[in-house]
Order: sequence, then structure tokens, then C-alpha cells
Amino acid sequence: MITSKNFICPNCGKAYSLHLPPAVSICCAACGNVYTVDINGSTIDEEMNCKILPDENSLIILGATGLYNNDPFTIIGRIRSVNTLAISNEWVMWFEKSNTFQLLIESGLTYFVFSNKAAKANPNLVKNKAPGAVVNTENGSYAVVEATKQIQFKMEGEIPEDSLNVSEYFKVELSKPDGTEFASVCLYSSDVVEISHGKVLNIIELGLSTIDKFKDWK
Amino acid sequence: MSSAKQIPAKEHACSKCKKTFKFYLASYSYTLICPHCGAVYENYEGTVLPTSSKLKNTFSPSLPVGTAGSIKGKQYLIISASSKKEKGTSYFWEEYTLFNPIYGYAYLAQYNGHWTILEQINDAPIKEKGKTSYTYQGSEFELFAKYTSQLMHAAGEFPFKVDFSDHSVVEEYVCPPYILSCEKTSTDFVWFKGEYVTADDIRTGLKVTNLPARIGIGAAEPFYSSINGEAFKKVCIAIAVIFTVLQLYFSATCHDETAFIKMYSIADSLNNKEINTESFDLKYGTKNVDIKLREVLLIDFNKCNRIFF
Repeated sequence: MITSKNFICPNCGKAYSLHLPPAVSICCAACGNVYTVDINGSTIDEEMNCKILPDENSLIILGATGLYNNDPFTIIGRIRSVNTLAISNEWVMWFEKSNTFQLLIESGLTYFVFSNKAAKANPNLVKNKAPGAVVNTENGSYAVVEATKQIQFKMEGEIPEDSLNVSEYFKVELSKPDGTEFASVCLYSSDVVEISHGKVLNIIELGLSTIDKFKDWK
Repeated sequence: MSSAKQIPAKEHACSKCKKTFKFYLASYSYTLICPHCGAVYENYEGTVLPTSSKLKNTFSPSLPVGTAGSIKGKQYLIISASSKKEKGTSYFWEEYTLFNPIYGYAYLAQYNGHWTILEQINDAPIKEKGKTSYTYQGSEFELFAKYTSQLMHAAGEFPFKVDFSDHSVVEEYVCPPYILSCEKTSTDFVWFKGEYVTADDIRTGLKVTNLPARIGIGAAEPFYSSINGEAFKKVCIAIAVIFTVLQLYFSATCHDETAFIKMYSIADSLNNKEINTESFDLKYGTKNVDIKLREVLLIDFNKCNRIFF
């Protein structure tokens, strides 16, 4: 059963009402410290600080609301991943009606929704595949578009505990030739490889509450 | 610099030259380069951190970083500028990173006064076997150039890592006014679709002056004429109508009469002496006249007998 749970920052005392069920990681907006509330309700200090610059020119910010498949959502968390080429963000869309969440991925201000949780993949799937090479998966053929090393993670708000990753790994991004579907292959070790599939999303269709701020840019 | 469509900016005081510069992407910018002195900062930690790098030279881009305005109907803010060259040659061009909070990033390239706006595309165009062209969105894009590009100078903020040591292999395919550009490095493979933009559109859209002089013809420059398509169509129709009316008039007013007829006998066909006819009148005044000459060959068989028998 998913229930809300109060959380008080052990460092600065700021109080929060959690949306996600434990285990959940939360970054205190006041002091930037990160904690995980485990399934028993215990608080674990992650010993990391996630103070990042406030994004005044971003359409997606914590607290923004919108509609996805006619279901209202609120942005409650963000995982900011830095790789050897660029920065990408995973925003947590929380659906109040169903008390569920979905990740909205941003890369180069292009947005994706991943339809499934990551699945195990063949460790040789992308081995020796240079950018431009073709990779055949159960979902069809993809082209390798990017190969990076994830080097740093920061977070805002609250995220599922299993999404908090502080160790480096390699990531290979794949795209179908028609650009409709994407796949991310994460290589955590030589034998732990996961793949997740996603589709491009037109951010304007989400009807974000923040869009009026940029009405002159439409 | 245009003041249109400004958005909140953060200011950073350069630790090397002490001058301030603006940046807009906050936690989305990866690299910041001071436009005054070329000092390089990393922002991927989420806060601006100086690095030991400093570019040897700064450069003055044709369009200042921070310029805002519209190109092809979309509002953009220029957040960075860079200068690139083709490896092994002295061909230089400029590239600008454009930002729109709703539509994301676009890129503006300038070479010899010719401008192209590019956006990254998610799909990969299809190359048919044995062809050097790509078919994309129903149009065929012909190979225009293939080269290796080198980053020479940069200023402003970049949503990606700026790596001066990395060289991209670039392939360009054109179907004017559009261009497809494929950039491949050791770590990524990206396609862009671009469209030619006239210098006048840049001048009026971004409210800037002193743009580089236009030299030659741009890679994706379409054929331009001083007559626009609609005017040309109207002129063609008018000419066709005038000719049709004249033809009808002449057909209606022409008369069939024999004005003069006479038979002349020329004994020797090799004799080129001119023949003058008698004068004759045209009953219906000055008109176009159709003259029919009929040649009748009469053979003197008596002479033939002497030759052949």
C-alpha cells in the first residue's frame, strides 16, 4: 500500500510530506543534503550534497504540473546525470490519482518517456559497436548514436531509492532509423547490462503549468 | 544587441579577467567560456567551477552572444559562438548555439556570409545501396562535402562538453534550401537538418548590422530571381493571351486572293540571273503575303536522245 509519509531533514529540520512510497531518496531543498527513507521508515544519510543552480529558464521544474495521457501529474523529483559529453535529466512525474510515477527523460532538451523498467540485456549487445553501427534487439534494429560514461549524479526533490546511482557506468544510446523509438543500454559491469526502451515526447503536449512564463517564445 | 524576448540570466565574474558575463542555462550548461578572455569553466557540478584551461585567443563573432530575435519564425537567444575550420585547409566558419525555452536548441552556421539554421533530428536518413545521396522526407539530398572539422575558438555557454582535441567527421548532403549534416566523433553520431537563411533575414530577425560580406554561392542556397514566382506566372499568362488574340485577329482578317500569277521559263538552271516580275496591287492594303513558287521541270527529250542514244 502506497502511503504518504512525513520526513524531517535531520540536518536542518525542514519538514516534507513524501509522495513516493519508501524506499525513497530525498534531497532537502533547504540544505541540499540527501537521505534515503527505507521501507522500515529509517533514515539513511547518503553523505552527498546536491545543491544545484536554480533553473529559471527551464520548462520543467519541481512542482510543475501537467497532463500525460489525460492523467494529471506533478513533477516531484529530478535525477541530473552528467556524462562525458553532456547533461541529461530524469524528472519524476507523480500521478496523484493512481499514486504512481513515471520518468520523463530529457537529453539536449529533447524529451522521452520510457515505457518499461530496465530489462536485463545480453552483455555483448553493444560490444565493439561504434557510433553509427547497427544493433539488433528483440524490438528491432537500432543505430548507435552515443556512447558515454556517466560520471556524476545529482538530485532534487524525491526519487525512487533504486534510481539513486552514485557510481560511474557506461551508457550506449540507440535510435531506430525513423526516430520514433529509442533505447538506453546501461553497462554497469562486464556482465550486468540493462536495456530500456522509450519514445519521443512533444513537451508542448504535456500542457505544463510553467509554459505561460515563456509565452513570448512560442 | 537586440533587447527582444530576454529571459533571466545569471552573471558570473571571471576569475581571470574580472569582467562579468551572462549565462542562461543554469544547471543545463556544461561548459562556460568567458567571452572576454577565453577562461574555461565547468558547470556540470551544478555550480560554476574554474578550470586551469584558458583559450590562447578570443574571437569576435559576427553575432554577439546574448543577441535575441527570430529566425524562420521562431524566437531564439544566442548562448554561444564558436569558430571552426576544415582540417588541413584554411576554410573557417562560425557556429552559434541558439536557445528557445520551449523548442530547445538550434544551431546557426555562417560561412562566407551564407547562413544556415540547423536542428538535431532524431531519425537517421536512409541511404540506398550504391548511391551517394540520402532520401529524407521525400527529397533526395546529394553529397556536397565530406571533411574533418576542428574547433578553433569558442565563447559563451554550451550544453555539452567543449573538447578542443576532438575532431568530427562531417558529411553534408544538400537539397536546396535544405541541408542534411551528419557529424561523427569517436563517441557520438548526430544528424542535423538545416535550412538556408538569407543575410537579410538574419539582419532583420536579429536586428544586427555589419554582417560578413556574401561571397560565392552557399551550399544550400536556392536559386533566387528578382521576379517572384507569382509575377512570373502572370507575365507568362499575359503573353499567351496577347499572342492568342493576335492570332485570332489575323486569322479573322486574312483574305484568300491571287494577286499575281505568271509562268517564267528558265532554259539553264545554272543561270542565277534574277527575274523581275511586273508590279501588282494588293486589294486589301498592306498585308502579310504568302508567296507560292511552283517549279515545273520540262525536259527536252530531243536533246536527251542525242546524249543517251
